[in-house]
Amino acid sequence: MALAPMPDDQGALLSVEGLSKAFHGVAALSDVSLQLRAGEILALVGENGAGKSTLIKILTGVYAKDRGRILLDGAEVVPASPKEAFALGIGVIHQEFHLVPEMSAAENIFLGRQPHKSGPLGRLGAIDKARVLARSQQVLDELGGDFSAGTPVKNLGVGQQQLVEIAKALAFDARIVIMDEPTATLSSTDVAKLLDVMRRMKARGIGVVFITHRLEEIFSVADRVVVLRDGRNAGAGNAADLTVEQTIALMVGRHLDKLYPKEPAVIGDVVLSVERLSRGRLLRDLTFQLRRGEILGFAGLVGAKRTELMRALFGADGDVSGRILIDGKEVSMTGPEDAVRHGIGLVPEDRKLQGLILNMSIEANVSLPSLSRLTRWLAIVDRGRERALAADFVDRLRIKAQRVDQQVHFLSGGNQQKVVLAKWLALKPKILILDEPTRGVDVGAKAEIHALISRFAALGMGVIMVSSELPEILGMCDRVLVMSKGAITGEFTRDEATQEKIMACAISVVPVARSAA
Amino acid sequence: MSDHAIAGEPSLLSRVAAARELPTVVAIAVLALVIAIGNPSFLSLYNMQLLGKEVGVLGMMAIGEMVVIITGGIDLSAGAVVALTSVLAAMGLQAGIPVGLVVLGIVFVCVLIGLAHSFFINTVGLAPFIITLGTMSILRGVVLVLTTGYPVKITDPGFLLLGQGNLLGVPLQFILLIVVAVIAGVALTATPFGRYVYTIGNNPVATRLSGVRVSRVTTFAYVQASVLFGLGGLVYAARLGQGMPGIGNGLELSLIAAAVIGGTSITGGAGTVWGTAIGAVLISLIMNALNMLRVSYFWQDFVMGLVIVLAVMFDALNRKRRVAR
Repeated sequence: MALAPMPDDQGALLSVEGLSKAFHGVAALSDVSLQLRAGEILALVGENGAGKSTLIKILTGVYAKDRGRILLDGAEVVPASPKEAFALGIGVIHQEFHLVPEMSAAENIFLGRQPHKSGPLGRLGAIDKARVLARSQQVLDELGGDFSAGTPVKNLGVGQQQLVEIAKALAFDARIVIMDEPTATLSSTDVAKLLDVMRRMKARGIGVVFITHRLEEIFSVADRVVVLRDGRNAGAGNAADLTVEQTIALMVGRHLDKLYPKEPAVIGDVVLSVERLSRGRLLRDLTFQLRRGEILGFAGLVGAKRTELMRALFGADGDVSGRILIDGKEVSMTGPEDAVRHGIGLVPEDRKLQGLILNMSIEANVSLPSLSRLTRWLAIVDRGRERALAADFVDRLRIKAQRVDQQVHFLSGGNQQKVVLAKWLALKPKILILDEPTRGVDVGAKAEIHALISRFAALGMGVIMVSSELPEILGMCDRVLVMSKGAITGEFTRDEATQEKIMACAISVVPVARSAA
Repeated sequence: MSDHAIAGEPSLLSRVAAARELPTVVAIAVLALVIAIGNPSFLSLYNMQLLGKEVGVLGMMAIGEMVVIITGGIDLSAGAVVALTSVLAAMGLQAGIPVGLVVLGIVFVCVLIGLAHSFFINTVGLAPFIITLGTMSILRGVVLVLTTGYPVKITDPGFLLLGQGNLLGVPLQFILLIVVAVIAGVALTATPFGRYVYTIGNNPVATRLSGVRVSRVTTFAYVQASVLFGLGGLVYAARLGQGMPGIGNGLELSLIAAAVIGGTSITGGAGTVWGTAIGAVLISLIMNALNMLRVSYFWQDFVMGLVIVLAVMFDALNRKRRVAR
């Protein structure tokens, strides 16, 4: 692929050279370099886990780098805290706002940095309110804001609140503004306005780093694109010279290997049928089926509402409309207990908060969903059977623990996730829902968990797997559904699916034709 | 700690040394020795029976409170429920209703109180301490309206036995505690329900997502607490021979103290029947000591408050240490 040459260091406002960072021996960033010029919008793209956040956190002083250099106007800087980075002129706009709703826009902009009045009152801590208001209004006006700086933030719309966030950086002469997925929570009109604001910042000579998953935004506003993949530079170029397809290929271009030991499975009857499932504005009219022995993947970007769908299938949230049929019979899901009774298990997204009782034993965690089936006379728990069950799964899933009465708190992430798997497998479910089953799990345990999933599907279980890692979806699934903003926007068989096709559907907002009903 | 219920079989000695109850047992022994030296009549049968009565009723109610605390909740209505039920029982008996029916009626009223608590906590979403503080005030008000502040006499000899009778020298209410403790102990350590009580206190979200009907378990916790408080009210009424409108003032704090002194975590997830029972022994002993050593009655609230603050402080320090580990 023809890539535009990197601009030389001359004139670079910010220059990152060979930046590396590892966490517990796992490389999050390896030798990443990029340049940002004044008055330039640089799009930083990559899949989840590609290293974007790590890079941003190093630039803003949250993490310390392991190796490499950060140059500001050609001079090396080492921001040791967000405050230091801010003082160097590096501002960050996060996806979620950090505003005090009761205070005015101006007060928020100057929060914690209020200028004091001159004279004796100022020395006693009196704040120069007139200056706060005037400077805030000036910055907001420059950004194209159409509201008074004295307006309480709670009375502002989402887009206006974001403007206040940006003004927080610009009021203190930030020269570099990093925008971390600023459009993820905005409506399309607010997005258009924000892109305008970015153009204004560019015109003022500010260097903007723009992180987004929506590629169409990049091509409408960015000057250059830097792609990260697996913590490394995967490519870069002028936005004008790149196509969406080329960018996607740079983002996902990995080969699959033994990390995905998918066994061929006999695909059986339909075990789960979902018809026109909706939940408010979150889930919109979802229809699909799952067969015995099948691993059905759900791909999509963060915010595609896949977790919400899984929770709806498990009865975890109310107000769901549509029909859910198990083995052809309609079931009502008033709570997770119904799902469990109908043979559905859920390995949730956040194992520590939702999947495990951390300060209880492996044994108690494994037996929790099936405890009422492990009783003898008078509802007394049969400790022998409980322990045997846990010991059996510790053995079969190769959970590395000293004893079954060890608290799960002390296990590694991979072994904790195996305990969550075990607690559902112990119930012999018909349907197993896995929400990001290998998030935060090291590579070795990841391959083991994949092998387990594959083996249990081969035994006739229907498996639904949500993953934000495309290679995992492609490597493990018999069929892939792609979601975007609460709707299904694509469907591919194992043979049809490619990363490019999935990404195209994941960033699309229009449901595309589906290959099979 | 919650893993008591599900731990393996370490040696008896290490279990004794590691037990959270150990300091309490030591405190009880030391205190008993001090009182016995200060006032030899401490060891008299009469005083022992008096102590047994107090431990019996306090322990029984503290177990009810403990179950609620383990689920991560709290019930501050204990004293008011005691006053209400003691008064209702006295009025019922005066009206000539048979003892059995009176007891059943009291249990029924207490079940309703527990259900109301559960409704406001699980369905409406109020914080447990707010709603039970509210019922505490409401029930106290009901008691005053019913009695206009005057005690109601009880003369039924069968009923009075509950508070004044002994079996082979052991006060009946102490036997009641043993029965309650055995049932609660088995329910908490050996049944799925008991396990859920602990898992809910540790992580209600993960428990719910494991298919457990969390609200059903917490409902039962509040109902059993109210019922045990109600039984406590009956015992007090029988002991005093009257329904006392002002009885049980500050009782909830003694119950919470007994539970926390006995190793129950104030934030939920951990606690044992045995621990709470010896917590109740310590609390009763402190009260008894103040009487035996002729400390002014007016100091009793002061001392009780101090004990509670210390107990919760040790619980907090324990938790910090566990987190730091």
